[in-house]
Amino acid sequence: MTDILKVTGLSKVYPGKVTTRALTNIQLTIKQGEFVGIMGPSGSGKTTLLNMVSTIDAPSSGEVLINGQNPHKLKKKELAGFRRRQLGFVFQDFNLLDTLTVAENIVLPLTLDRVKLPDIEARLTQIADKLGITDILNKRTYEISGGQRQRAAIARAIIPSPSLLLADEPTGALDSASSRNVMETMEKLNVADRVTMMLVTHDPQAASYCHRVVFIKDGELSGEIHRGESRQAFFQKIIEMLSFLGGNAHELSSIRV
Amino acid sequence: MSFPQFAFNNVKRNARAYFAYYLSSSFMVMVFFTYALFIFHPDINKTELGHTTMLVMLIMEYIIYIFSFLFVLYSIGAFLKARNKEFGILTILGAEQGQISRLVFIENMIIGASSIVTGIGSGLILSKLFLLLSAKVVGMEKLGLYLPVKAVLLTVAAFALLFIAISAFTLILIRRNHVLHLLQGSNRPKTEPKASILISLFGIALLAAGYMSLRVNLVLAAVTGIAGTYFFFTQITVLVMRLLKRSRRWVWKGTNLIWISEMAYKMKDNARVLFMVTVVTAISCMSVAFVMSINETNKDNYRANPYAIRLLVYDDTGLKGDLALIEQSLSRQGITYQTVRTEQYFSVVEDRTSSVSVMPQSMYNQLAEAVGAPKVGKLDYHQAVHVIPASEVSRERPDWYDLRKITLRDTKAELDITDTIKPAVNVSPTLSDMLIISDDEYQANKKLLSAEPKSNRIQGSVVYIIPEWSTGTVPAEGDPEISIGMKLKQEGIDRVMDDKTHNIINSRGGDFYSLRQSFAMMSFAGIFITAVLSISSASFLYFKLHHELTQDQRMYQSMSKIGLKIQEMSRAATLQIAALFFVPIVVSVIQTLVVLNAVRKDFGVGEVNSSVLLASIAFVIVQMVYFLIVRSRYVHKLKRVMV
Repeated sequence: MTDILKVTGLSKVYPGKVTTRALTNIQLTIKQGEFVGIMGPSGSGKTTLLNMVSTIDAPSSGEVLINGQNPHKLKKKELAGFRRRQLGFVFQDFNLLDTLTVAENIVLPLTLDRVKLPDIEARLTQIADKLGITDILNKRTYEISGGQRQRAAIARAIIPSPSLLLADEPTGALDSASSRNVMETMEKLNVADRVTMMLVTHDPQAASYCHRVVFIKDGELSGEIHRGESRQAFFQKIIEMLSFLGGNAHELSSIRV
Repeated sequence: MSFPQFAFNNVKRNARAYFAYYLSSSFMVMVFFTYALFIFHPDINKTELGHTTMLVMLIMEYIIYIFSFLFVLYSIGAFLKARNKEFGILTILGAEQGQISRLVFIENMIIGASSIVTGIGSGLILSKLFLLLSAKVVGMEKLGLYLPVKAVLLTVAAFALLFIAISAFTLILIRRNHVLHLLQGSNRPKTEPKASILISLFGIALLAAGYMSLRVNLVLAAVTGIAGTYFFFTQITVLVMRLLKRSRRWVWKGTNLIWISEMAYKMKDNARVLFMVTVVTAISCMSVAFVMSINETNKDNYRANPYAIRLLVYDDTGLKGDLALIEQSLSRQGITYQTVRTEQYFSVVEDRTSSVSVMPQSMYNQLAEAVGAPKVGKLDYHQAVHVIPASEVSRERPDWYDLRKITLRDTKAELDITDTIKPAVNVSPTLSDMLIISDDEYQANKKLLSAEPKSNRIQGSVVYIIPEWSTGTVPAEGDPEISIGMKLKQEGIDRVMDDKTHNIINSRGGDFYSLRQSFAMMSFAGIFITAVLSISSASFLYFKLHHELTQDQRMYQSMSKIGLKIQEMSRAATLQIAALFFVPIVVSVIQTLVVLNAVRKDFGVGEVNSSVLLASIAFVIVQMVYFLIVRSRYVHKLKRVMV
């Protein structure tokens, strides 16, 4: 299987009066069709790692290869196109545009790429059907629930068929029922369409849908566990791992306000 | 930290947000103050023109004040909206309604006071230049600098009142909101603007009514027109945007999706700003174009008039003296001239209201010979030739133009119009439409008229043709045509006043000059006010954009994460800003064209389209400069958040 993402020796230092080492020598490989979770306590460097992979931030040293290409060597102009075609993003706060309908939000990446209208419409129906959001396509973003918004955001992320789907706390702003729904959607996409995914979260429930969870502590990799058997058992293992790493108790809680 | 300190810090630390508002307010104060300086100038009433100028400036002063009022009201409203969240937090922390009101009030007063000080300060610096410039235009000796106590007092009082009134007014506005709404602030999703077809139709009806009433009642036309423009922006544009969005083929392409839906969304917010800017631009555009076309008409009338001096003869008592006066003034300067003495009578066409002047064939041919116009051949009894004046555009067309057979009311003679000619110049000494009939018929008719007691329907005239002055170009100040003409006109008036004559001396150059002079002042005031309004409307728009910046930054940042290129962002943002800047111009140019074309005849103005075109080109250029500056700043700020 090809490597979709290959991170080698990645470090990030924030210079300043007090230099902060956010990441130290990270090695990570995600293969085609894998669903990988990144976990760790607050301030461990999860988001920094995600920003490096998602090309939003540049590493101090080390290399990120996505589909064999190093995005940090691209010019800013090419970078936007790269992001548009190779990467899909799902954010904690959805980042849908209020001014657009759900359908318009979803097709936005395709319109920016000037795909022909019949193709756009075909892709839209197909994806909306798969994610079960066909009924709400003509609604506005504020007329639908958080779970529906996140599924719309997922639809937008995968409509250009990206090589890698990056999710940053996708369940962070959702209640538990919606969280489950969103995670099941992602799992379905991973299984049926073999979408490669990288999920950053501190919600063990969400992480338990992954094939493999990588833990980061204080900017360094500190272990990884594989799912193998049932999701329930995997969930238990994640919780054990997290308490072993010494995260704060409230961060492990799956109950949200 | 005391409460006023808190307010002061709010202003100080939010300087960037307040800056545009402060700057524009200072600018308003400055302009108001410079006008006040002029109005209260001790030397201003010493000349006639100075006095009229002062009156015009007084009117401008009112306009500036009204505009400042609207501007400050809008700015404060926008500010409060942007700070809803802050007020919500304060409320939750236990601030009383009164305290928040006081906070807002003190903040406004700080801004108000500092802009009054800055405005007057910069006005004082500018005043030297302004007084110099206006004195030159008004044709006065230099207006000296003076200690403008009254002007300062007026400005301070007027703007203090303005800021206090508006701050007090806005306090009522914030009181209405709920804490929840305040806390959600601008994060609360806006609903898509709705437009009602009924109200849109009403708006169209208003615009139509405005157009129809243009020639009947200008005030009514202005009110309905402005109201119609308001609905145009708040309803009709929203409707148009909705229709646009229906076409997926076009909207779902490239960045269209972003900017069109953003526009449709912001249209209602923008509508009020667009409306105000449009009204302001339309007023300025109209006044500039109007002044310009009056100038053009004045020149056209000058060129179409072949007679340097015309003596309109009503009776013979003072005729000798009049002729001697003209002759003396001309020959003293060694000017050669040719005179033609003619006679016409005026009559009314049966069943119509417009009058017509009738001239015998031989006299017309004499005139035609002298000015190089086509002559009229032999005419039979009851035959006539219609001569149209060259500058006829500026006047109402007589209502008998369509008739081929004309019956004159007094003589009951039925005239058959065999030919119509339009010479390049006004052959008629009275500059009117003329019917030429045979000499015999003229004499017969004249006898009939003279039988009537006290008939002043018969008018003689002596025209002076001076080749030296008729070069086809308008005279400049100091040319003999103007100096002699002005003097002759004055002397003629003196003679009428002294009852020495009943005849009137008309000077082509004198008429031209006095009209141009009185409009020079109007142009000056008009162009000055236009410049002010145009700068203010641009700062209005900048202010509006500034307020949306944070929101737009957030949007474009998340868009850039999913791969929006910088050029695409810049394209979408540019289109949006361009719409804000140029839609008002386009609408106001159309309005100006429609309005001026409809009313021009009532004001005796000829063609207006070229003046409107020129004025609007100037506006577009100025607006283009603002647009480029604002756009580059805005896009630059958006670029910074692009990842």
